[in-house]
Amino acid sequence: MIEDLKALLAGFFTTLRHMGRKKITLMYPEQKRQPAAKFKGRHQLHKYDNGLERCIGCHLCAAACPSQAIYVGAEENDPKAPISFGERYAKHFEINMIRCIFCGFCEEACPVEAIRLGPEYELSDYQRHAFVYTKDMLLDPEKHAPRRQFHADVEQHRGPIGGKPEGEAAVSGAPKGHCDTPTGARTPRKQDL
Amino acid sequence: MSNLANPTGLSGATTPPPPPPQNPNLVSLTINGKRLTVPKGTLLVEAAKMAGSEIPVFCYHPKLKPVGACRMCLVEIEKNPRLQTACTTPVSEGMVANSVSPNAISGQNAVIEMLLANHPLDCPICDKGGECPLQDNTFKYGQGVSRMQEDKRAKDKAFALSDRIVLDKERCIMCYRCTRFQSEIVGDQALVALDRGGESEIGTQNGESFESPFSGNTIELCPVGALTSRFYRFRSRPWDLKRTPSVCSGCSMGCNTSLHARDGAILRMVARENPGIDDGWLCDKGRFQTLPPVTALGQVTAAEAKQNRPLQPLLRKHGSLQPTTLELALQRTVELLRGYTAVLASPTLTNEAMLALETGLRPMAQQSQFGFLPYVHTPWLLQGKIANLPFAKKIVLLGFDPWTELPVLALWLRKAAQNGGNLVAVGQHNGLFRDSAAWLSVPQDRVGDTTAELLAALTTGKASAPVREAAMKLTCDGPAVLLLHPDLAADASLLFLAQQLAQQLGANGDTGMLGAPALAANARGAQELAPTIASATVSSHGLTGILLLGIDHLVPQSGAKLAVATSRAIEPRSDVEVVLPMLHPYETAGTYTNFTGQRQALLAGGFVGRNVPSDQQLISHLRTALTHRHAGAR
Repeated sequence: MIEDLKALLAGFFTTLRHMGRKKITLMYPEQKRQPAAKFKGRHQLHKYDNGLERCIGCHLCAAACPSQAIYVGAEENDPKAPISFGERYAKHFEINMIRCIFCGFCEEACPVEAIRLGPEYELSDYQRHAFVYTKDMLLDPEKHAPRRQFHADVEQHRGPIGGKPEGEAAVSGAPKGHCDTPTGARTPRKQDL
Repeated sequence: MSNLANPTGLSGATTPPPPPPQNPNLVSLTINGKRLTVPKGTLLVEAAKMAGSEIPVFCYHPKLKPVGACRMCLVEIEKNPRLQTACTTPVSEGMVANSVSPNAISGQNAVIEMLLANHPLDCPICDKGGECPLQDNTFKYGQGVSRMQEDKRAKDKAFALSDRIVLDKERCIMCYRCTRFQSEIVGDQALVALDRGGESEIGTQNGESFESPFSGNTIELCPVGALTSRFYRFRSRPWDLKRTPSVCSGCSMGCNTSLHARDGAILRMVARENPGIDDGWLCDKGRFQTLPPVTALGQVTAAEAKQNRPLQPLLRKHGSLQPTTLELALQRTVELLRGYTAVLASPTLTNEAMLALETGLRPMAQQSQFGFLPYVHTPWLLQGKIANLPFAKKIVLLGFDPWTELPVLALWLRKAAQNGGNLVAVGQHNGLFRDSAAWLSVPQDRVGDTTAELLAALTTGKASAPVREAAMKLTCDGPAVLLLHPDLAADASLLFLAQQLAQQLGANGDTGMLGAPALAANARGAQELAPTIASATVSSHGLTGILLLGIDHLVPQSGAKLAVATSRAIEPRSDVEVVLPMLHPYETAGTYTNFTGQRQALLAGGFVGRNVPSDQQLISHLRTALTHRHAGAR
């Protein structure tokens, strides 16, 4: 009986001790964690300062990808209005985010440091085809971000993602299908589930 | 051995001399510690292949004469103070060669380092990347690092040699494979090496366009990405390509090819060596002009789809061609075939489709005239094998210019001329004029007269001086080849003269070749399997409806309504009533008969979706629709 009481008190004491410590859990999704610098999240395609795309359409990321998530279709640059540096550019560049395992082999394979895995990790969506990220979406992640809720505490750290928030959760400029309701949030339809 | 080589004979060693070779035509030697016996005159690089050890090469090619330009094949040979190039060294008795000794390896490393000193290393954007001998040899025989700190040479990057070939002058390592191909195999010297030393580069004489019917082969020969195809440029990487063995549909030569497709779209066609047919070469007409229009699945935008081939049936409604179902399109086609009509088929259909056309469709539509476009029937079927050609000593071409009609055949005839054969051409065009013993240049309608004169010169000696001179070339012994243009063979008197001449020369199918070759891809198959259709002549006068099967272009406007089954983009002319989608020969499986009668299989190298019926399916659908029409009429 005494032994049981002792065990009970020890348990309560452990609880009491942890109540005084700093919390490590966050109230997600209201609060968001700042990812580490090396975090491997949503891919981004980068440009040079002069506006030329870094990507030269060499297919090496697609060759390195262990889950065959990347599709590249290259074409020849018009020398008068080049899109990338050199003779070749990627006309099509697509990543299937459902296939991607975020291993980062693509950034390692890239000879021109065009593709980088960024800090965004909220990539859920309602439709399969919405997970195929096209070149425009990858080049401008701010503009073409998946719909997400705006929270003042997080946004002040990393700036607004997906343009200026309107109301609670709107994202201006998001691709079609994310703007069905005035708030930008849309209830899943039966066909999506 | 060493004391034998020592003229003083003072050495104390007493090594017994090697036993003399049993056969004087054989030589025994040691390569990388392995003893082997090879025929006399074999090059060391070939002997090493037989010994199972690879010697890296760039400039060496088994079909070209050795030059030793790239120095990649350095080997150490005993009793030789310096490294020797294996590609220019014939084997000799008792030779001891080593390609893996420290000396040889340091030589290989140095050569790779020097070749890369000015090579731009833009492998990520280079079409050759992934199938590049320079990449492969650098990985296998290079040292992996460069000590070069100087800037690389800057030259033209995308220099258009012609509308088909693009040259990257920075990537070129000056192996001269392309220039040697043009001068040794083709003989037109369309590519030459210009300037000297570090300024040396590949180009054309006077900077003219690189025009040769075989220019595409230089792309395949180039061991780096210096010569690339304008059409394949940046379309894919080699590891993404699905490779399917097939047969070229450009002409009746039947050259073996490999179709390279990405996502179902055929992007390029390369040679697949068949020593009995193509010797590993392709002509530009076949390589570049026979591919189907690119329709990569999922990549066709609305604008592209408009320019590209139809992938679903189209029917004229309210003055424009609109998508419809196969049933409605077939129904309209059958309506068009009522009355005085014609069915014109392409000779590029497979043998299977030919048979379906002859035995399936033709008996069902007896009011319609059937025929091939172009006309394929030849009254003098060709006899003989291509393998006979290099040994031919007397070659007569009557009105027939293989250089433009069957280009790869011209390479075989040139080979015969190089082996001492006498080529006499009669006719307006002669692409082989550089290798001809005589060229009686007369207009095509005078070929008959000249043939008669040539025959007279051979039999009685009575002829004008140039013809007598040409006939003199044909009096030697040896296998004979006589080829007559199939269009001229329709003239019975000329055909008789040609056959007389062939007999006079002693031409026969066992040692040489004779006849009027069929020219279109499967024209011989058409004549063998659809003889009634092949020999029929269609009169186009007063037709009310025409069905075109697999023909690339529309027939001239004549008032007849057209039903078009095609695998190519068509002009939406006002007389086109129905368009039926069709598979390109490279997307269908079947067989082709080449001009010598050899049958070869094609496999489907591309894929355009399940909605497009195969040729046999389409013919079978048409047959069913026609049968129903007859049943309804009764």
